Amino acid sequence: MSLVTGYGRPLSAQAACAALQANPNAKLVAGGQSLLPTLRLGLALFDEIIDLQGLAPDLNHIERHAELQNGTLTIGAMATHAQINASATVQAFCPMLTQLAGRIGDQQVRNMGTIGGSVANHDPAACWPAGLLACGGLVNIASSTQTRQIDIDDFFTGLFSTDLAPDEMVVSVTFNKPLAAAYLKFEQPASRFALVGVAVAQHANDFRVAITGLGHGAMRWHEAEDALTKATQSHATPLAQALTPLHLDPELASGDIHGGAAYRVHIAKVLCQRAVRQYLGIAT
Amino acid sequence: MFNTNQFKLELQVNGEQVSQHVAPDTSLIELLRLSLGLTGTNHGCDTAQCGACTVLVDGQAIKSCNVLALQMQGRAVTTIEGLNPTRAEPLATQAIRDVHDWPNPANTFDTVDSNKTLPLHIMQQAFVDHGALQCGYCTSGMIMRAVAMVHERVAADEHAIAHALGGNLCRCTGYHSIVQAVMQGLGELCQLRELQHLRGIDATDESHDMPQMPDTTTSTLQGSP
Repeated sequence: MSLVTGYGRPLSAQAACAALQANPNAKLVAGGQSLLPTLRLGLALFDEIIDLQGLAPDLNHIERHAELQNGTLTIGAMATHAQINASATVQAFCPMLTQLAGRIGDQQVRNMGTIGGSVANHDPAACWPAGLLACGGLVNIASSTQTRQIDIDDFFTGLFSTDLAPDEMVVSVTFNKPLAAAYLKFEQPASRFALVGVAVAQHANDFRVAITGLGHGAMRWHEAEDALTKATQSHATPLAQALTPLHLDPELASGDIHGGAAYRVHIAKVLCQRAVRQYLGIAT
Repeated sequence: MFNTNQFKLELQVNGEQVSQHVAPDTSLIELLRLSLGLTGTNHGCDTAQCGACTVLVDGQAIKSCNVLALQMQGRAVTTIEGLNPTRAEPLATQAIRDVHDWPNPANTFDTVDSNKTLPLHIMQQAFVDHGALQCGYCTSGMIMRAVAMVHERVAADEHAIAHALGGNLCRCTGYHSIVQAVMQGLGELCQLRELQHLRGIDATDESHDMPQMPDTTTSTLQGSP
C-alpha cells in the first residue's frame, strides 16, 4: 500500500507539466515498468500519479528526417520498446537501435515500457542512455510554457539524474545516424538489465563509445573513442586491436552483489572490443 | 482498502464493458482478481519478474501486477478466462477440441454447470497434451504469453519460443514440456491464421510499424467468413 491518493490523466505534455508544477510530490508515469516496482517496494514516495497513457497517441511517433546531416531519427517519448523493436523505420535507420530495443527486459515489459521513461529515469543499468550517447543527438523537452532541446552529451548528469527541471518532461529523443554501430550487453540473468552494456558507433569523423551498468549512470569512454578514431585515421593500428592497451579505471564503477567494480570495468572493455570486432565482421 | 480516493475507469475485459471506480495505486491484477473475481490470473512476484500475472492488452502480453488499472483506460484486456471460445464459429470449431475428462483450468472456480466442460483454447489444449505444468501457478501466465506470440511472428521452434518465454518463470518443470506445448499450440494457431488468410479474413493490420492486433482470441477464434 502506498501513499498515492491523487491521479491525473493529462492529454498534452503542457498539461502534464502543469500538473507537475502544481504538485511537487506528483510523479509522471509513462509505461511504469521501472517506477511501479519501485513504488511497490517502498523505494519511491509520491502522492499523485500523472498517467501519461493519454499522451501515447501524440507521443509515440517514429520519424526519420533525411535532410538533416546524415539523417536523424526522432522517437516520441511514449513509443514502447516493442514498438521501436518492430519498426521498419528504425531498422533502416540504425539496426543497433532495433536490437537494443528488442533485448530490454522481456516482451511483456517491452510492450509497456517507453523510451522516454527510460531516458528520463536514467537507471544506471538502462540500455537506451548508452545507445543514445553513442549515436549522439538531442533530447526534446517540454514544460508547461515552453519547449527546449538539449544535446544528449549534456542531458545525463549522474545516477538517476538528468538535466530535466522538476516541472519538465521528455517529449522525444532525436538520434544522429552513425555509419555503423553495435550494442552489446552482459545481462544480469534474472532482471536482464545490463550488468554492463556498451554501444560503439562510428560517425563520419569520429567514434563514440558509451557504457551503461557501471553504476553511476551511462557515460562515454573518451579514451576508447580517441583510440578508435586515431586507428581509423592513421591505419597504424588495426581497429580490432586499438583498445588493447587501454585501461578503464575501476573508480568509474561501483560494485554490487552481481559484480565488483574491477569486474565491471573489465567486462566493459571486453564488450567494447567485441563490439568493434562485430562491427568489423570478425568473429569473436 | 485504505485508499478512499477513487477514479473512474472504463475498459473492456474479456469482451465486456467494465466501469469501475478504482484507487490510483490499484494494479490491473488487483482489479481483475479482487474487483472482478477473475482469479485465473495469478499473483506471483508482484514486481514484474515472474510473469505469472501475464494478460493481454489489445492483444499484447503485459504483466498485470506492473501496470496500474487506471493506465488501462479504454483498452481491451483478455485474461485466461477470456480464452474460452464460447461463441465458436465454424472456423473456431476446427481450432478447439472437446475435453471431457479434464477440468477446464479457466473454470476451476466456476460452480455453474460443472458437469459440462467447455472446450479449451488451442494453447490450453497444447499444455494439457504435453502435461506442461506441475503446480500450475505459472500456467495461465505462460498460456497468455504464448497466445500473444502468434502476432509477434515468433517462429514455432524451440529456440525462438524459449527466448520469447524469457519473461515467464516456472519453478517446477524445467521448461522442456512448456516449450514443447507452445511449439504445438503456436504451430496450430499459425495454421489457423493461414487458413483464415486463405479465406480472406485479414487477421493482421500491416499498415503500422507495430501490428496493432485486435484481441487475440477474438481474432483467432471468433473470426468467421
